Amino acid sequence: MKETAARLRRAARIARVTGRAGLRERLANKGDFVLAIVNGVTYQITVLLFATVVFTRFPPLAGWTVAQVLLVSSVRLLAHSVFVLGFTNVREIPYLIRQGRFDSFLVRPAPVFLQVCTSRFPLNAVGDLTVAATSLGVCLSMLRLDWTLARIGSLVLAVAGGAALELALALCVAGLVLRRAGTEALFSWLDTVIGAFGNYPLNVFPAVLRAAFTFGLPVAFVAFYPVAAVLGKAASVPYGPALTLAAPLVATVWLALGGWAWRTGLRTYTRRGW
Amino acid sequence: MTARAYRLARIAPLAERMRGARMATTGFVVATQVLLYSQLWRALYAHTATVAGLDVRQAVTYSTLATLATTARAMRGATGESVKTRILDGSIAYWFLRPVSARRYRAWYGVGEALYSSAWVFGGLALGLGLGLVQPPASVAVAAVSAVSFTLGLVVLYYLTVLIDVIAFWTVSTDGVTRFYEFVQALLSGALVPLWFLPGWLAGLTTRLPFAAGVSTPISLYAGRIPLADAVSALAWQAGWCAVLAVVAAVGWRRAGRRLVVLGG
Repeated sequence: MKETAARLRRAARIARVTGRAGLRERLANKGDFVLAIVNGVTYQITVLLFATVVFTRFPPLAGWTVAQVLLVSSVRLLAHSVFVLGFTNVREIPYLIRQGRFDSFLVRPAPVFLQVCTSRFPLNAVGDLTVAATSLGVCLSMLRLDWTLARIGSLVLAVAGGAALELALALCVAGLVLRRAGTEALFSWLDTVIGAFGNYPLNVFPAVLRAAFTFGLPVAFVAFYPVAAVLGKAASVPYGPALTLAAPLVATVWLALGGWAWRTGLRTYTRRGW
Repeated sequence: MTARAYRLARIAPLAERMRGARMATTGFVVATQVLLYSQLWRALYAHTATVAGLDVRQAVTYSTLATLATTARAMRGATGESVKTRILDGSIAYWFLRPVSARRYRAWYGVGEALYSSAWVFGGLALGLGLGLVQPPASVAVAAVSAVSFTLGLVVLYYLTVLIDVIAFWTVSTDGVTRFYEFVQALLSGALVPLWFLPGWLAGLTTRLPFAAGVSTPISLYAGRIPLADAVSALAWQAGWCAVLAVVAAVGWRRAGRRLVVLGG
């Protein structure tokens, strides 16, 4: 127990020191610094724009009001922002490998995962979080919900579960990328699929996609199912109301799978940078 | 020169072909995105026949072709050969020491990239036609005009990428610029949402920009959203952007060569 606490303290110190150094590195190029923050905003705007076009151009979505659908989008955006803040560098692994930096992480006396996560300061998280928080604020003011402790707890859990799921899926891809060069496009694929399909009530999709996003790639657990619980719409979700409470369990299972993929990837990784 | 150009144009496609996993991943990404988006648009059109002048078949055709065009382009780069990476490791110096000028080298390399991504687009188009995802062109004339427009679109996209590349000579790191460009490109090219779905004033403005000339114009011509009668003006806009961007890129290359800083050693 004491040992674990000491290890965690050490990891936190490494993260703090490398994070500060990373921030200084990003500040070296002022134009790039500003654009990186702006990029967080613009990325989220593209996602919101797609959702807005869908809301305004097409009829109400499967019995969900615009504000309710916006809550699904907002929780997904916030979960994504939390993921970006802590773990976005997992998606940079292909570049770290190509530059040869990843190989140096393997021989240093610190966890590889920690070094990857702190390899670059996640500036775009600032923009991401700003848009996500604004979007959440707007839709909560539209919804006028009664904020009980249970509801607040399930909203926080929804965001944490969504971020954990994004991390778990990114780790699965990272494990694959470490094993086999050329598979890195799956990172952007994951981003696109979750970004484009995680914003809507699952009911709008045909049966095949409903099943795929529930029992295959867990896109529906990133925001839809937990938000249905927050809104008290559990009865209307596909495959039964129990799934609205299952997001933490699904995230845990996928995190275990992601952890296994990461460890396996690390064991089988062979140098291919220059 | 022809033999040299041929060899340079082959670099990108050969590098992609070398890695089976890379091609398989590209196929997987393109196929799943096309199928997912087509399902999404069909679901959205379940209760409506026409939105912003597009019916469900046109919307699915548009979405499929836009996904093919943009995803295949994004997949390129197995060689890691870009101005950005070369500047960061200092090997950009070689671009300026070879018997071929840096500008010409990048151009022929770009031709190879464009041909590679086009192979995915045409392969996907054939498959899409076979599966009924993409509607066939309304006439031979529409097919011909779309092909010309697609080629002009490739030229526009090439020059836009070159301009981002050239910025690296001044800023060294282009991560921020590149990501910003990707955002603008996704938003204003119509790859994310057909431009016709945007509010009227914004749609009017974006269809005149070079980003739309790269993706939206050829696909809108193919899907019939731009009628054949307006094709000449659409092609003229594209050709105009090709000329303007070519001049800007040429000036950029000339200035970049004069202020080259070689890092590393």
